[in-house]
Amino acid sequence: MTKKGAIKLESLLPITAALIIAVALFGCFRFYTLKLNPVSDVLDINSKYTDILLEMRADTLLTAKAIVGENNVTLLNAKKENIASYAITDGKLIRTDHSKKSEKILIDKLKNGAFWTNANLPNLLTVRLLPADPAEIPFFTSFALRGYKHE
Amino acid sequence: MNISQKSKNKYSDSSTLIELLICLAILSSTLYPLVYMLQLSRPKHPSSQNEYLATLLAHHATEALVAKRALSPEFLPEIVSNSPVVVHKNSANRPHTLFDSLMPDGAQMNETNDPEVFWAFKPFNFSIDTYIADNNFYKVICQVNYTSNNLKSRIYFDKLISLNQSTSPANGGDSDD
Repeated sequence: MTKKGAIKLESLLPITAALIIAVALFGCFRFYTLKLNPVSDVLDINSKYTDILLEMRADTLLTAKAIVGENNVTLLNAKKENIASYAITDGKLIRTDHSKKSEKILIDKLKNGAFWTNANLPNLLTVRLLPADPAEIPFFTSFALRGYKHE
Repeated sequence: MNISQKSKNKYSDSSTLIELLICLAILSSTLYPLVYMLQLSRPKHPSSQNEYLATLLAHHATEALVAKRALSPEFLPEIVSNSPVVVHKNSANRPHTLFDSLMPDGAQMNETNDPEVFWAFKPFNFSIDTYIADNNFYKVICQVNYTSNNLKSRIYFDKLISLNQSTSPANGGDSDD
């Protein structure tokens, strides 16, 4: 005795095909959107560091003088106009653009950070940021103040 | 067809549909490991943490060079081979002068005064290669070398310095590559 279904095989095939295609598309979507956690963390911190690097590099190209505070630095151009300032407050590095009067959080979850210029190289601004997560690399680099004039 | 036959047919219809749905569910769930394997086989982002830190250190060295040249335009860096970035306890090699200002107070970084950054910098070595190009330009290559997964890697930034200061367009006749 053979079983007879309510739905014919011919009408089931497109439904089955559609479901398989939908699952395959969902699989592709997950493949391109999901990231493994360690990789995404690395990408996350690297992209934040790249933002800091690009912002500070653009600012220091015009900077003639850097006024360094305990946890902040203010960059001035040759006309002594304020270009931008960077401050570490509550574990966040905040860039303040004085021309646009805007603030931007470049990175958060910092353990500490510092800005300094060296006595032998007053036209070199060094930045050091230490993330709260010890597994993440520190940010350490320097920027030559391209608008600096030796007095 | 009597009532009992109709109910029998209905029962057989529904069982066919359930079997089909179970098959589809199993098929769908078997696709997930396949997707996961594809995801694992994806190449990771080329910029590892060591590579990124090496880039930051090479950037620091190049910028320090630019700053030195701005203060004393006659300064030309010499060839340096594999000098450590931080002071190693059991090594006679000293870090290059471009890495003198690793601490805010100007002190040499060691494993006691800043252990977190010290251990991050320990795998890196610094080299400078120089040569004269076209008789008018002094090419400086700042390299940061490190070993990752038993492979020697390096990050380098080039700097082209004009030896003829009178023709220098700006910035002490230097240009970034």
